[in-house]
Amino acid sequence: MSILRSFRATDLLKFNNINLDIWTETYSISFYLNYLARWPDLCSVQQAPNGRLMGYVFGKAEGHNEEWHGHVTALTVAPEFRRMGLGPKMMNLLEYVSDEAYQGFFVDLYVRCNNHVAIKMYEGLGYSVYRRVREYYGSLGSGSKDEEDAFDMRKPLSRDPMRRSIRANGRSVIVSASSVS
Amino acid sequence: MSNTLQERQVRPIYDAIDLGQFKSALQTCNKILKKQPNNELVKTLKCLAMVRIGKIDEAVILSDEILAKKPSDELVLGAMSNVLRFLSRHEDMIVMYEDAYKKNPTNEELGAQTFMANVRVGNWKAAQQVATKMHKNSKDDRYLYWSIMSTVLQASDLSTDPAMRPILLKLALRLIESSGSPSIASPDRFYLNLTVLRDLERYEEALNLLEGDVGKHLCDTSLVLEELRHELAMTLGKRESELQIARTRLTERRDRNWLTFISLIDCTLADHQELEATINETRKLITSLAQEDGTSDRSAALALLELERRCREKELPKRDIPFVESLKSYFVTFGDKPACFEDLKPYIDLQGEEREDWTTFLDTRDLSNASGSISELVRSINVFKLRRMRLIEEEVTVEKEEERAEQYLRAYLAALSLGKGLPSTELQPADDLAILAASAYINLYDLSKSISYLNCATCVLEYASQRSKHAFQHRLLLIRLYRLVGAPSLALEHYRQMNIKQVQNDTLAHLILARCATFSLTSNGDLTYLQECLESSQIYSSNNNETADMVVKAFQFEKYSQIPEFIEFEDRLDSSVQRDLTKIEHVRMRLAHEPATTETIDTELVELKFLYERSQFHHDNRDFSVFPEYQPLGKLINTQTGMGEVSPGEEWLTMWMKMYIICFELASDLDPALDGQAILGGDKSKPLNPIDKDRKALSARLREISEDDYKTLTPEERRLHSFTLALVSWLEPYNTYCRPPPQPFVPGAIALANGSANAAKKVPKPAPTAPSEPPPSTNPPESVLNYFDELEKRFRETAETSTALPWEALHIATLGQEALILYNIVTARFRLGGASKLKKSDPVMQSIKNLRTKALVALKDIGGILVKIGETDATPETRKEFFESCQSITSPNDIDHDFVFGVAKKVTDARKKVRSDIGKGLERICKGQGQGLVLGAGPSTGS
Repeated sequence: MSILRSFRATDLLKFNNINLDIWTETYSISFYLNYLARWPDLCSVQQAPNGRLMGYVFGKAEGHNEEWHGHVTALTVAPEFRRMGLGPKMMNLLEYVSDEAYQGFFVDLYVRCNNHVAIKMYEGLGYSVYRRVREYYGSLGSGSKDEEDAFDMRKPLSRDPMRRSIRANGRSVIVSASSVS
Repeated sequence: MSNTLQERQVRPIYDAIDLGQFKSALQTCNKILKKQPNNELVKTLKCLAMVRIGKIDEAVILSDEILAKKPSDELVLGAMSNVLRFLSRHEDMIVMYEDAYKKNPTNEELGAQTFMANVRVGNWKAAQQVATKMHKNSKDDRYLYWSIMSTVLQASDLSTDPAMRPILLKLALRLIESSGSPSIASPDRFYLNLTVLRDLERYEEALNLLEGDVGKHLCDTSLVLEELRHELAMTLGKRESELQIARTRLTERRDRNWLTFISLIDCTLADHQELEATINETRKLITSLAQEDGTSDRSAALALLELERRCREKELPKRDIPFVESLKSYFVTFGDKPACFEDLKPYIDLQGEEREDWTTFLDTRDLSNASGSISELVRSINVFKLRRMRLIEEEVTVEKEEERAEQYLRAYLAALSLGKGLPSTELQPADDLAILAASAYINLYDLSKSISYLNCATCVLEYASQRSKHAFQHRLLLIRLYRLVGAPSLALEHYRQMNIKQVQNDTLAHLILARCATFSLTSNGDLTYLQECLESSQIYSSNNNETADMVVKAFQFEKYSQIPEFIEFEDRLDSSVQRDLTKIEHVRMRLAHEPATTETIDTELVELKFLYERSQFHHDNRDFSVFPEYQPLGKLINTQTGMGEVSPGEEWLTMWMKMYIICFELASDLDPALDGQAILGGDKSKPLNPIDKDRKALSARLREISEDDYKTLTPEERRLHSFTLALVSWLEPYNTYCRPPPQPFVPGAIALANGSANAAKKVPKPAPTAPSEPPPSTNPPESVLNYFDELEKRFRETAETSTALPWEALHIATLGQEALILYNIVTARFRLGGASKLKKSDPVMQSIKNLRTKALVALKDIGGILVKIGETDATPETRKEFFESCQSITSPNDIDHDFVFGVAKKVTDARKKVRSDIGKGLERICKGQGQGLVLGAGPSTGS
């Protein structure tokens, strides 16, 4: 039960219950507005009937030729609204728009290798690991590799019926952060 | 010079600038300029390097020189635009590009830059003219749409005459229709077209456009368009078709967006003939959806409650099942979701039998297995919260609330076992129980005024915060509690742990900066809070730069739907209440740190006047919704844990701004008739318009006190307010006699920062008005005479009262300090040798001197007492006292003896520090400022 609507610039003034959580980074104003100024249809927010923001997604479209795809930059849900299927709903919308409006070949996202809850959710949505990116994230304190490394996970869209954008052994393909960003 | 040569020459300068090596860039520039003094590009790069290393004055002179030559070289323009942006000289940037574009009217890049320069400052009319010209030259539709968007923005701009609005919108529409390709080719052009039609109230036409095939497809992938479509249809009263659309979405497409349910319910209940039949049909539909979805989605089940609530409100036919049964069944199905409590909150305001029925239901829930599984735990947490919400007055007694607090705490400790194996980055599932326990203890404090309950709440939250390191709600409450119990350094520690940054500085800085002058140790040279104010204010300059850049970007990418939103966002930050609250705290604390020189006072006076004039457009973005609110009887934990009954907001701010302006005016030689706008408004990026022409003069408005504003002050703040006002009105006649002829404002740091180097010229010099004879002597009013004595009395009482919170005595002490500082400022003119035209033997002069002596005696006493209390603060006895107050929550296996002692030590140490430091600071102020105000000299740190 939530309102799914496009993200508005003024939502930045109301997203504290989401962003005070450790897993969610707060970026500069221009970070958010840059996404809204370019891919507003890939940025949406879930709102509770009482006006409280529950979670949001920021995405973009990028890449050349067969690499043209939708990318999930940030997907987050406030702690009290987790495990209620909000993530999948926002992902569905982003995939739909990436497919219909942008005609991308796939959607991809990065996730900390130790964020098991999120990885499981993405696998349930049809994503699989395409590669492991070394030291993509800053440390949260434990210093483990799984914390700093990212999985690049992908899901093919209707423009890729042969599923060429994914591979089976992605977890063992390791690349450096500098080669992806 | 050939291009390659030029490129070889300047490449190292660009590289150095890119790498942030501005000094080296500057040296290279100087070397080249020795040989080629007229190399404009190198000169411009030199200017840029100077700006970046802070040589602002020189950069301004050099940039004026460059601009005077009307540059047209694109590299020069590019570098110059960086210089001007850094100096916030947006108007100069416009002129520069306009001139260059005039010279090369076919150069699209220059046109675009001219357009963007206007966009950056919201100069919509000029932007529209540039875009129209560009469109004429290039026939590119993009520029046509730029001109259309600019026209629409001009129509909605506050400074535009309302009568012009429809004319501009019609113009925009005509331009859209003149375009070669239909707007529907791109979602954002289409959106713009539709909003113009909507604003012209041509809803039918707009809806027709949307209901074509392409329109439908666009709505499908654009939530913005779909929202607009629904809005239009509802305005046109298309109830029947919207009802149908909602039904189809819910059934065929399994849409579960709450907005769709609301649309279904709105259309069902709209006034029409077959109301009852439609309600039944909708009820049937939602019920079947709810059954179908089961536990997988809550929307339908909740929509059923929403429909019933609305029917009950309108006294429409009810469902055959009683409302409470629906509530129960919702709880049975979704009680194990953390959001269940928030979901049900709007529906549980019940009376009479229904209330009893619901209460019995909640009371009979079996909570014995709360720590058996996470879903059972969540269910119990929901029961606890729901029960707490429906408590009635008789049930909220100290005794019963104590029982509840212990019950929550027991449940919390037991349920911790469920989260044992979780990594430290995860939240504990039992966290909310600790919040509930703390809420109950805070409520107990509210009922009994016994501080021991706050100690209990603190220990519980500290413990929970250790178990769940990243739970922010514990920290939010701890910040509040530590301020109340006079341990601000611990509050600051938790605040920093929350890693507040970027835009959160606007919405959450209130946590630490509200009334922070109470804890400020600037008198002792500790600038922590001053620094905090400056750091948290950086977001406002980021906003000015970044948001304007992004508006430009949205134009470049033609995302017209975003532009009005960005502008609103920019405005809300720019005119943020918190921004000015932070400013006023900064002024208050600053004056306790550095001597109030004439320069400081003039600069602050001008800025405060400007902010005061602008405050009529304030936006309050402060976020209080982050507080966990589970208190019964409509009480709010936000209020219960605030320092003072009302958290300082817009009204409070108005009182303080007025008070400081009035005091500064007395000390300043500036012409009081100048308002902030006259001085700073000239080149401000946003004009202050519209200003009501019938508004009273500033001086009259400053002296008006609104009851609503006044009420937001604490009693002690009210006393300071009356004291300063009485003091100022007593001294005013003598001040008028003594002050030199009014001076024009010579713009210093602020004016430069705002690029208004010419502002001073606009200020006319008024004629001197000083009377020739001194006014007859009068005695100071009673309220001024007795202020400091009574302050000391109140301080002693508060410090000795066991029910007074530790922050209260500090509040009195620091306000007393502020009173002395303000006294010194307003009397400086009389006290300084030679500056006063009054004779030393004049009774007024005597009174001024005696009053100050009285103030110094009282404040020295207070300072001494604080230092003394501080000495007895962090002792085994005080720690033991703290420990004993927490006995009810101490147990050997969890919140044990050592833990509580640890908290006790932290709290008492922090309290000792702030008390003795404020005490010592007071003594310092009495000595330091006792020598009088240093006028015309001294450092100025700028703000």
